[in-house]
Amino acid sequence: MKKEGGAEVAKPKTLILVEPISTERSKLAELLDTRGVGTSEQPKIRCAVDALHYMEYLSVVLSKKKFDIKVKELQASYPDRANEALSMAKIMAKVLPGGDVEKSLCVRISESFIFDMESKRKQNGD
Amino acid sequence: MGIKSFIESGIIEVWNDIYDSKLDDKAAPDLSDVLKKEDPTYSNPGEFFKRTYLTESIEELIEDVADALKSKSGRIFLLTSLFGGGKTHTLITLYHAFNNPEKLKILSDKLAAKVAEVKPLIIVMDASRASLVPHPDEPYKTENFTIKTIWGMLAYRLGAYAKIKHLDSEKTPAPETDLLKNIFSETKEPVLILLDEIVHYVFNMHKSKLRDYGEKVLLFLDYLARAVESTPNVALVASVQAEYRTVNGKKRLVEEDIFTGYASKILNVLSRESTRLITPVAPDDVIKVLQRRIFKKVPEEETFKARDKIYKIYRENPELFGVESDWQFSPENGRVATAKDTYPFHPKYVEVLHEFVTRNKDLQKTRDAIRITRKVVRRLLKGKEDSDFIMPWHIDLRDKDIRNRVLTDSRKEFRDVASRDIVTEEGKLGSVAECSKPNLALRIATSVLLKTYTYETFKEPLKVFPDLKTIALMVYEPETFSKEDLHPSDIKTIIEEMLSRLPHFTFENGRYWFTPYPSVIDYVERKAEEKQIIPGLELYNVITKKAEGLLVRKKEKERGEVFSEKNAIVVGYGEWGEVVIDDTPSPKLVVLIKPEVSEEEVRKLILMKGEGRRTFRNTVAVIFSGVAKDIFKENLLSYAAKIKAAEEVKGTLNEYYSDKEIRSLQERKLKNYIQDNEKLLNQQLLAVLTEVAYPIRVGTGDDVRFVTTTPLSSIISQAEAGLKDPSTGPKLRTDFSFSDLVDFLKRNQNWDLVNGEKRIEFREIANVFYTTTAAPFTTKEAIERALLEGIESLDIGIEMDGELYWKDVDGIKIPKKLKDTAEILPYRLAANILKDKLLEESGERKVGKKVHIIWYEVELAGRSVRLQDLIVQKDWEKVLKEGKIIRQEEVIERGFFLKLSHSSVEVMPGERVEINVEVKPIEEYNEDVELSVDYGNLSLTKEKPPFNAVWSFTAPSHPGDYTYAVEAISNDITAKASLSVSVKSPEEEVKVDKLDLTHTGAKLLSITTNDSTNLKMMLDVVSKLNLNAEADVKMNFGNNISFTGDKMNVKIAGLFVQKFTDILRSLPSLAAQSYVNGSVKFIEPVILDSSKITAFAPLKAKFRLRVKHE
Repeated sequence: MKKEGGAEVAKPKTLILVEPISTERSKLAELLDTRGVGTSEQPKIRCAVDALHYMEYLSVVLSKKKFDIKVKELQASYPDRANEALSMAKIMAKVLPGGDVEKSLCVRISESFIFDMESKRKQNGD
Repeated sequence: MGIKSFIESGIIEVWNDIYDSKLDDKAAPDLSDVLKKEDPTYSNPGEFFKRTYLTESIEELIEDVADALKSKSGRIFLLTSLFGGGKTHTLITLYHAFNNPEKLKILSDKLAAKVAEVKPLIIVMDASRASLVPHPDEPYKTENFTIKTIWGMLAYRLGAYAKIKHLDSEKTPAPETDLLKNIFSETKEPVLILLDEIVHYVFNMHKSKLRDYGEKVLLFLDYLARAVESTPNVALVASVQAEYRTVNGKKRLVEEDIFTGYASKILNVLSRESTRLITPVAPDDVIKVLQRRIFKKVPEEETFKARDKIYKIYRENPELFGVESDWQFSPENGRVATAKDTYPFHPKYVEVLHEFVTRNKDLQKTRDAIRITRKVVRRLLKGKEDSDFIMPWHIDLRDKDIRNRVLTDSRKEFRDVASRDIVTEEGKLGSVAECSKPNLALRIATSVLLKTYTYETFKEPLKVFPDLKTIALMVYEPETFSKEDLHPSDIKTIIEEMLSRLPHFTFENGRYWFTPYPSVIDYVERKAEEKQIIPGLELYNVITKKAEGLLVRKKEKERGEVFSEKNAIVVGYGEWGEVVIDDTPSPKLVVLIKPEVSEEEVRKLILMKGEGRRTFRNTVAVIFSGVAKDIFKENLLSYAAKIKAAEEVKGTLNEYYSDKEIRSLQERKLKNYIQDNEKLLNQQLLAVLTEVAYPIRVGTGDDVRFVTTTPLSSIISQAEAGLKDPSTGPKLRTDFSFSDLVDFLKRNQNWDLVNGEKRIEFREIANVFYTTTAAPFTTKEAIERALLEGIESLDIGIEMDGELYWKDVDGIKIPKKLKDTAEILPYRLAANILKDKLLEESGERKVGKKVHIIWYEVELAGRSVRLQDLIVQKDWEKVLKEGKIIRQEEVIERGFFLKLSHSSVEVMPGERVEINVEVKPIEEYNEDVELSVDYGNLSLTKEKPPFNAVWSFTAPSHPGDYTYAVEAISNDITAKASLSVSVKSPEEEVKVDKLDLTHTGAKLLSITTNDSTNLKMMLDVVSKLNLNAEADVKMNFGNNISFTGDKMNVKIAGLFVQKFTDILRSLPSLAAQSYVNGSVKFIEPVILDSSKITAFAPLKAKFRLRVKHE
């Protein structure tokens, strides 16, 4: 949440929800910093949404092989939050509208776990 | 905005001739073209200079030639380079420069001024044209003469043919030095001789019947060099197809293969003291030459922008792209060029192009670099891509023209490599299509092939072969990646896929390259195809074995909730019909590896054991293929065939490759291939095994239902995910609560665990789950957990090994583990067992001369009641369950003690009460004891103990709690006892789980529920009935999210609950970890009538009512 300007006596009335606005690595890192999660090896994951954003960042930065390893580490450290994040990614990869920034990130996450050759072939128009 | 957009909007301009493919070959002009007027690109000095990049060496050459033409002694300049090195272009530059110094201003004012100082006679001698340099078999005919020799032509051009006419024959000697000097003196003006293609000429004569003439030409060139050197104002500029290169620290002359020996001879005869060797285009000039020849205008501002854009990404991914020095084109002995210097070309484009046009014997350096780049740019402009940079992969092998120009005869083995791995001549993608991102794989493969195919060694990783960083730099292009939603990290992912899917793509010591050796993968795939013609059991066995390894993720020590490796049975194709699934009280998951499974087969497996009916009908779930038979076969059998074939080939690799190095290379390839195909087979297995069948109760009978699951990471996890789908019930549950268990047993067995009257063994309850198809699949542990929860809430007790686990004086006793024989007791039975035990422990015990009086009290809501008094009341078991049990002990040392028949009574207002008061002596006591009470009357007030008296009184008329005392006095001994009298209200508060018409007239005080749907309904009803109430809502979502609302407006509370219910519905796993509690408190009690009862009746909630005593 971003604090609104104005006199101290006035309470901020605007809630700004932070969500990925770009799939660029730098923008995703900025989002993680804003949420206080960070991009280090030891992120501060307080909830499933933190875990989801951290995974979105990793999916862009790491190769699929390394991403798999890192997600398994997250699952070991934060089983509930990481698994919840994976479930959210799976749902969002399906339900978000095409062109949505978060959709493409969630697709990257879910692709790492499920590789459906059939759908790939269809995509490639073979 | 990429290059294409820039060109379309006019920000960047290309030369118009780029669009004309016919002019591609004009990138290789002949010197004679300058004399023709057909193509202005070369014949028009203005147009020519606009497309010419003035390299440092050409600039120096023009200056030196200008000086030589004014000098007292002549000079010889030899342009050395292999084909396409810019020799002819340099000669044309000299021609136009000295012919039209004015136009030279386009390139340099200073140079134009210097050249303008001399006006030489320019003699153009293009030895590839008989019209300019004839030979005896193809003489040049003028009106008066027929010129047959090269020297004849030189004399003719100098206007001194008459002096040499007698020697103009193949049979006569070549003119010697003095004669040639004499000829030069014929002209008063300086003489500039431009001699091109002389190596071709000499070679041509030597290889024909004019061999002797060829020898004489060499002699003539020697004389000519001498003559030029000793004649003022003469300059000879000749091109030679050879160049000096430093190989292993030594300077070595490299000739074009075809002219080996000839170029060096010519170089020798023309090399005099004053001769200067010139390399027209240095490696670092290639960039400028390309830019100038292709682009008419490239604003500098755009070069900076493009560089900054791509460098930003490089800096963000240093682990992939390295450091700034890696991002440049750094030619040997040349200046480094950054992306700004090479724009619109990427530095790697220039590097790769320069490398292969220089190394490929069939290509002509700068000339082919220009030809290829013209095609690349034209293709780019015709296509849809709008790249920021022209990348190595823009040399697109899908383009037949480009492909043929690049994969030439001397590298023809790579045509097959390209067709197999990258793209066929017809434009059909090769093995790159098998990668998850085929376009990216195509770009990587194209770049690596172009970078490596000109090297002779394919067995070992040369340092010049690209590493991951170089590949990333060759492939990453911001605009393309962004458009295709690719990220730099995808490059590594795809390379890893390519290593096993592209037969010729190789990796070792961090380097990647293509090897043309017959790939082991080809053998394997041929063998695999044979195996697939009639797929035998061996392939199904491979799949079955893989499925066994895929039941759980072993590395992660994954365990299913209900199913495990131990209780999962993989039934392979061959075992079909032979395997019998045991009929035992434990869950089992059957994995069917079969292309086509009928419903009837599955039904039989689940509900039958062989021909008989299965006793434990709720123990078998079946997971099987959800795809059509053909897809099953295509997807699974092809990978199984590849794995099987690869394993066979691996064992006999010696037979395929005798060379040890190649064998080890192929062994690695095979290992990657097997691993990759195993991975793909695993993924396909998971993708195919999506149908899950399970038993279900339909009406009064058993049936089988099916659910489609989604592929996850293991067979068990995806089978369980399917069975946990809400649409199945869920059929698999291990997280049920005690109340769920109670509801289920009540519904299905009519067993009332809490309020019933019979004991039930744990084993019986577990068996209900294994035999009743209406039950979910679960574990004994889950049932045990729920039961222990029941003990914690004291709704049930458990008797095991003669011990009661329920409530006790010290708290609740909970067993560590339940035995199958443990008996579950409804709480009333447990309360009775406890009561008997406590009463047995109660009473007077004589210890020495003292009397210990022991009794138990139950404290509830601040009131204590003796157990003896409690057990005569209605529903005393409830009070014992809810209250706190306190052990009391009084020690009486002497005299007497008082004992009341009741320590507490509950009465209605004005009710008559009679209590027996017993006075008992300790040992012997013979004194009178005087009794008195503070309320009511005694039947006897003075007597020697032991004696009994009746204490009687009328209860107060107002409801409330009263305490009265009885006192006994004798000498100095006083004993007291008190009696609690609870005068009940004519109305009492009760809690009920359901409202019905018997509650008509009762006052509703509050409603509470733990279910989100019921909470929402409850709030809606209260809101609709417009009742004056407040709502308290508490919701926990998992561990970290909670919502609390106190004294909320009912409508607002309803809106919140609606939203939260939506969230929980979309995230079932979160719902499992959530807790809801909501209540509505009526500010004024609501008197219930039939309409209100009807409105509230459907709610599953607890209602607090105030009702009148019957």
